[in-house]
Amino acid sequence: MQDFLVSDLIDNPTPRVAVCLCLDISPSMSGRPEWGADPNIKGVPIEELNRGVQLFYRILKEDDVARYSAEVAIVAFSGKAWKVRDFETVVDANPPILQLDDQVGGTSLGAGVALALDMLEQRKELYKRHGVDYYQPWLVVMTDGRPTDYSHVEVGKRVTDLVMSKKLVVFPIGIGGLADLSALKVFSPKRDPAQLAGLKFQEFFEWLGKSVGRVSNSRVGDETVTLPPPNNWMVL
Amino acid sequence: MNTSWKIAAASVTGRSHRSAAIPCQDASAFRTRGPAIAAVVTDGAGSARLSHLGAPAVAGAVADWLVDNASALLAGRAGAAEIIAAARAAIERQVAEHGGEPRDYACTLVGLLLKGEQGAAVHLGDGAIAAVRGGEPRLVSGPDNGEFANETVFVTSSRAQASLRVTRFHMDPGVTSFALMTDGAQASLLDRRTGRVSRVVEQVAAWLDTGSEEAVSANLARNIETYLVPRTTDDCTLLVLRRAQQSAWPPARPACARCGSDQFRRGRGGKTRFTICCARCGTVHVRSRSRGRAYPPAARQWAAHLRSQGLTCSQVHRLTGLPRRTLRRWAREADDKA
Repeated sequence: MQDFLVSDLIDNPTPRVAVCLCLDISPSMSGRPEWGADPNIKGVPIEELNRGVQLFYRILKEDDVARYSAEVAIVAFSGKAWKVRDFETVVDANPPILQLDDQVGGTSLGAGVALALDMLEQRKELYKRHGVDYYQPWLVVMTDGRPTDYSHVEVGKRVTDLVMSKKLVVFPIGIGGLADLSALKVFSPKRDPAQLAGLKFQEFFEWLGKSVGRVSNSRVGDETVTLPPPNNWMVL
Repeated sequence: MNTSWKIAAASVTGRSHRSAAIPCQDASAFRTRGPAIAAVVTDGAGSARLSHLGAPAVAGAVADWLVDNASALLAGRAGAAEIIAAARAAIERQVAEHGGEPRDYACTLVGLLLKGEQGAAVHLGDGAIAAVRGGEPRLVSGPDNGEFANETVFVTSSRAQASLRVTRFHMDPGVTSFALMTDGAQASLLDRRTGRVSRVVEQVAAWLDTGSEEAVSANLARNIETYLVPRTTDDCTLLVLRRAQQSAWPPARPACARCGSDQFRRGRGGKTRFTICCARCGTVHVRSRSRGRAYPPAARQWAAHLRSQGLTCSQVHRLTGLPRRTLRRWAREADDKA
């Protein structure tokens, strides 16, 4: 008896999990109390954030499945929002180095999340057009301050609808003691926003990378994917 | 072994399970009872702790149910509710024996029932059922995912009964094979965008024309290991059914399988769609189709059989509806050969 005729096998694209990181680069991320940073935190948050993002890419690249499956985009915001990196698979992507915004100032949480949602929508449309299967997209929001406008209230309704209909997974993370967790709560109807312990960005992104890996290997019926337990990055 | 269909099946543990030392969570089962034959493949949920026990239990129980209730299912008197009940009863028995909760045994369900020229596909969750007709595989029942790739439905899901798809069909005699597969095999055998099924399923089915069921199953397992497992992380199961090649009709001692009568008459259908049915109960025994414009071989063999029993050309003509001129030519050609 013979072997399968290999040319008759079918190649399906790897199902994708889109992850959008929506990151605060407002002046307070410099760690300087006079620019609004939490004086109790030692270190430069933006540098720790950059190290965390590097680690995140590295962990995804190490995962056999996630490296082809995970597509990461990065939005940075202060008083306005910028698309730093559009979605791309991590397999041959290099993480960007985020620069502190010292021009615009402010913290428009709503503008950042709105841009991230639009990018996620566009990505889903692209997947549908090309017949690529995809998992629920992920949105990670990290901020260290209090929003300087009310745009997040409106955007929060959009996010809540998506989360409640299981079309989006959101991780809102507050950095330091001055982060406004009640503002982040508008994005997270199901669980409370988490507060990062000190500047444990590395631990957080390591956990996030492993969680993405678990999703890209998952199959669920009624319930949702169980994520690995947080490894010491969270303040209870 | 069923007299009309041959079966081969193999399940191979996927890469992600191997590295985590998780047992294979795919299973398959087949049963025959009288003219009914049932084949089932199941794919245990990776998130369910005991799905390596749930998947074989559900496969066996549903295959049993299908052959026991073949007529009711094909006539539409039973369906999704009873099938899900049978699957859940099997899981309850596992819970009683091994503990845990029903959802710890969650699995998908891909099943096929064949009886004569009728059949039904029963399908819950991902995986696929394909039929091959005239050498071309086509999808009978495709994977049911929600919007998202990792969302599927298991027999333990709250919406299992509403989501179970029962597709009843009449089989064209040109259908030579069926294939049932789980998600892992489907990754290389089904084009998710177009619904095209790989010809590989027909290649495997064709091995059954010459090979034994055991030998083909073993070769199938080796091929899945070599070609399908590297292309996915999931367990892979493929089950194929092949119509046993029909021997020349009539057999040595022709008798109707249903009523035992040895009298046959010409059924409906023209020259190229020739049918022979039981003269007493009307069961169709031969439905052959010739290519081109000639009578199919079965017509000629039937005429030869009747003549060998001492019937004259005119008597054969009245029974078979074959033209006297054709019958005389066949008789002449047979004499020449002798």
